[in-house]
Amino acid sequence: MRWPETARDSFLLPLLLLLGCASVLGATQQFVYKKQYAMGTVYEIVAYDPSPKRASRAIEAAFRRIIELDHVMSNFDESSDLSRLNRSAHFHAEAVPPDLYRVIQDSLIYSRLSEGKFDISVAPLVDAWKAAQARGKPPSASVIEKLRRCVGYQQIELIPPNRVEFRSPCLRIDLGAIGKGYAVDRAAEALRSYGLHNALINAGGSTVYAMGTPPGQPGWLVHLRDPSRRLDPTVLLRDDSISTSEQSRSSLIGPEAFGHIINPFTDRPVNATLAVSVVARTAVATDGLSTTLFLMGPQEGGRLVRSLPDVAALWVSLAGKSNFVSTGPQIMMHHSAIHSLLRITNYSDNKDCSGAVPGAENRR
Amino acid sequence: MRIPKIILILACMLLPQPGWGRVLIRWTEAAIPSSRALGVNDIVIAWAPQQQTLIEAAKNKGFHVYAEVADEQARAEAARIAREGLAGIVVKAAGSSPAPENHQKLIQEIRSTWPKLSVLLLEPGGKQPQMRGTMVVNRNGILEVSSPTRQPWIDSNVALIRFEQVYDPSETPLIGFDWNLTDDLERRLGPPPEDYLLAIAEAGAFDADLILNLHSKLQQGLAQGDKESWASWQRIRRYIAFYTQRHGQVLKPQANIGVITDDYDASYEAVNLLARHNIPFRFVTPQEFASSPVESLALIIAWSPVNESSARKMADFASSGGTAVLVGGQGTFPWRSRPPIQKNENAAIYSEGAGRIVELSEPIVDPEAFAQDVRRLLEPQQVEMSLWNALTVLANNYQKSGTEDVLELVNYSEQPLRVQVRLKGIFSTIRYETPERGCCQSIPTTQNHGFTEFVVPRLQVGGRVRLSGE
Repeated sequence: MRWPETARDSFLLPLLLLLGCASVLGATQQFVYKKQYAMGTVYEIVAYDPSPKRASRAIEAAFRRIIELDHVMSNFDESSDLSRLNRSAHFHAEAVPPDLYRVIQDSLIYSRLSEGKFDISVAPLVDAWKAAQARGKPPSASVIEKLRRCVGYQQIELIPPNRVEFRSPCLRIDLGAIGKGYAVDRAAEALRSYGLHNALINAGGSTVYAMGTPPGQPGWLVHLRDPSRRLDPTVLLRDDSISTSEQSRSSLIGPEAFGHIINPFTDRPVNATLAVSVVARTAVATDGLSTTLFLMGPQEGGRLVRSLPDVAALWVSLAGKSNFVSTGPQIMMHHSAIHSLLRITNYSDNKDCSGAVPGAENRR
Repeated sequence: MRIPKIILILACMLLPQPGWGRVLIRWTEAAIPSSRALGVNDIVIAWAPQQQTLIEAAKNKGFHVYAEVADEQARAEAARIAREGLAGIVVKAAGSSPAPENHQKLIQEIRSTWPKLSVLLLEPGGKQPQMRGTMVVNRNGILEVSSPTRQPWIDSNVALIRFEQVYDPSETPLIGFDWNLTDDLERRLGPPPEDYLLAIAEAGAFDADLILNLHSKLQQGLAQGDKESWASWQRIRRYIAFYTQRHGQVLKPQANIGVITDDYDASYEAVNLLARHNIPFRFVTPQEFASSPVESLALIIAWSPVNESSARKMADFASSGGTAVLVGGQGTFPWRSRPPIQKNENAAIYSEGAGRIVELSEPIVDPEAFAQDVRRLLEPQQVEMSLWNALTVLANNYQKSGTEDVLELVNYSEQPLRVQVRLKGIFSTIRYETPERGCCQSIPTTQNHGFTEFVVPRLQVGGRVRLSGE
């Protein structure tokens, strides 16, 4: 979801990624890097391949796929498929493109897993709080009460194979909490279709997907966001993904700046300074889960993680307190930086609602 | 009523132009096409013995040749350069910050000794304008960390240009940069044409002159008549023409925020982010602040230490309804005789007459949050310009010329955007022009509580909006 620049409150989450060592690159593996602006963020792809021209073409195809998805999922573009759905699906089933159907389907999995903490229908509340941020004053209780009736993933009905209906007169979908992850997974498919095996896709730092490994390395080493700056957690990615959600400071001066993550249970922005990083097999899983687990907190979120195979989550607070839960992937603490490796700084985007896990079922 | 296109084109040609800068091409390859073929006059060549043949060839092909010389050699080499009959000299200042006073003295000295020689000072610290990602810079085999940001990171020269425009108002800032090429393919083929367009658009939109490096591959292609190179060049040339329309009138950017500093390095990060967020500001020298009225400003930002008289002036400014922000709290200030109305670990706010004074700790722990705070400190009616769907766009709103305002837009993502704009003031006629599509497309407007709102239909890299009828 795109925010007006003045109100946009995307959140820096310092993941640091260490990539493959350039000095050990064999002559057969050429390094190719490209970036593309889409979905309000910068997508970057780095690939290693014997043919830089093929890698270049593959990356361009992946970007085209991302842009195509932007035209499907954008709620800023009035002509997007999502905007059309938001205008016309109230008490009336609308046919949508396969990508939109699938990403809504994925979203609802996470909504059910999180019992509503992740909810792509929270858009009206997000908009109200964004407007409040511009005014410097929270929305009134009556406004919140009115908008609450518009929110609820249970009011979204999927009618296979391709139709969607809203059972509320004011429900609207916002895919900001999961769309980038979905786009990253589709971009990875595009790269694979060109025969690429070793690449890394970075969606604005909030979601990263690693294919294969950099030359001579066991994986892509990613430094995770650490608001305390004490723990330096890292993870080695290989054919899996990491996403981070964070609520960080948005004002030096006063309390009038509101956070960007809305808790659909309280109808308010979450007031906590912490970062949650999630590792799973797909980007849609990590993107969705990161906001979900942010909202659930370590205790409740830990229970959810334990119920999912091959998922790891790390909560890090401003004070340096950490909680780590995993059913497979490992996150290392106090990992010293590996010299001569590529570092990538990542940060979270604005995630308005909550997220969840399609692709968690596609295990290692 | 549909206005014939030819009439619109003629009308646009007759409109007064802001002082957009010029572009000088830096050439390094042995072969060079003619000035006429390239469609540019000014060319910059390094002043070195091995370049003498190239310099001669360039002169013979109709170029005004500028010799580029390091600052420490400029005085000694100026005589030879003048004797060679070159058009001018580009003095390359050392360092990474704006040129200090001694460079200005050097320039004046060469000018007075060689009055026929055009003398330009290349500001240090210029960088390739670009939208940056969050990863991957490959330099000398080491892939390194990029800086974190909350939004797409924009590398721009706006803060540098703005600073120079105030501290050396007699000169149009001249900026240049080396290309930041990230992989082997790009190093071999050079940057895409859009990167050239962006550099030209940025300099033009913010009223600077530019020395543009042409990648060796492009130079060779142009010299050899390569079709693809010439196709790229035609796009570049169109941008040069669009932005090089100097009619001698330099207009001041609209800004109601004053940044009071003479320390570029100390204020750079915060000021860069004000520019990044399209918060219109202008630098105010401490001398100007002490001696001139600042009523036209809604908010001022000063960096500590400030002397007693400046502190008093800040208090006066606040008393009359303004907001004064002081970064760093060293000193004794009159407003501290009362308790703050709001305080946290980073800031204290004091009420002062009809306004307020905000003291922020130094260094600013989060420049991004600082920039956002500055916008929040303005009353809604004081926000001169707002852009939406424009995370990669920087804008420059020039002051009125007669009955016209000009809004320059630069899109660092180089991907077409549909940008929503809200400007303070009532404008009934809005025309949009771009290097790609020329002049002019009429844009419908909406007036709302003293603001004009409109949508720029397609901004690829550079675009200009003309507003009139207030």
